[in-house]
Amino acid sequence: MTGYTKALDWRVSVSEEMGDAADDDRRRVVAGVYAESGPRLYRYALMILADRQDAEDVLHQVFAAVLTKRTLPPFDDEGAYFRTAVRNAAYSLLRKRRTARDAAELMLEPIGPGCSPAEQAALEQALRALPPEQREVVHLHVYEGMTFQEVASATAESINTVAARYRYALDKMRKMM
Amino acid sequence: MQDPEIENLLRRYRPLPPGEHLSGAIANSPGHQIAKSRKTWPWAIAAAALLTITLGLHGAVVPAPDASLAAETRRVAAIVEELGGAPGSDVMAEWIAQRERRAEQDARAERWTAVEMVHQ
Repeated sequence: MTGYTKALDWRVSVSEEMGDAADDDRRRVVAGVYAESGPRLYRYALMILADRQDAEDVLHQVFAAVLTKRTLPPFDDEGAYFRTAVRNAAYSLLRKRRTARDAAELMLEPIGPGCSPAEQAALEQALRALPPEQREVVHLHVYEGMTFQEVASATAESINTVAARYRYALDKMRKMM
Repeated sequence: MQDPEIENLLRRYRPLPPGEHLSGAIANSPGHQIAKSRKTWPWAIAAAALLTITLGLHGAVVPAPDASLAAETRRVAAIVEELGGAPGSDVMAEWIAQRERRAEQDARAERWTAVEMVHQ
């Protein structure tokens, strides 16, 4: 049983009991769902928003909303469900955002040898200069290993749009670096 | 710099993971919203108010039982007793009671007419 299915069962028991035992169950199940998909979703939100605090807010909002719903529409792929929820919340936050974000805040971490602070700074600057939609495509394709067709399905865009966004993103990064 | 080089550069890094505090914040927040749902009470209060209004309107619109009907029934029973309770006396008693009630209504109407004439 996956974490999200457990969460659905847990919501039923909470609505029936509303007691301390249900509260303990809630903490355990929420922790399990977050451990399973939280970090991946956070990185996705971070790449769209380019701001760590905003990414945390989005994740908090999505998990709270999903786990407090009494009924949910049926869906087959819980990963896709959460990814779409995070995406919608992130773009909703972008529309409301009125202040520029701190460009000095780090967004990436090195994972291999041969990395330098100067290289990382240049890469971060190039990524921040991209529109959120292009950063999103770069993230899903490079960091989540999705094909353009899978990215198109996840973002409800055509494969041509996805490929064009990736093309523009790399062109812009090439000019900046 | 070619595309594969940019892609290799990207793959030497990855987006930062969430802070450790986020897990605790997420685990702690939703339960309060479920166990102490604030959405339930306004609906319960609204439902109670609607029920009270409905019952009040019902009481105001539906008339109370007619007291004169009970009085007439008692009067018919008294007449039947005065007539000795013979067969057919209940029909006679009802007729007498009706005549008495009409006579009372006529007398009341005459009194109102007299009062109006005095005022004119």
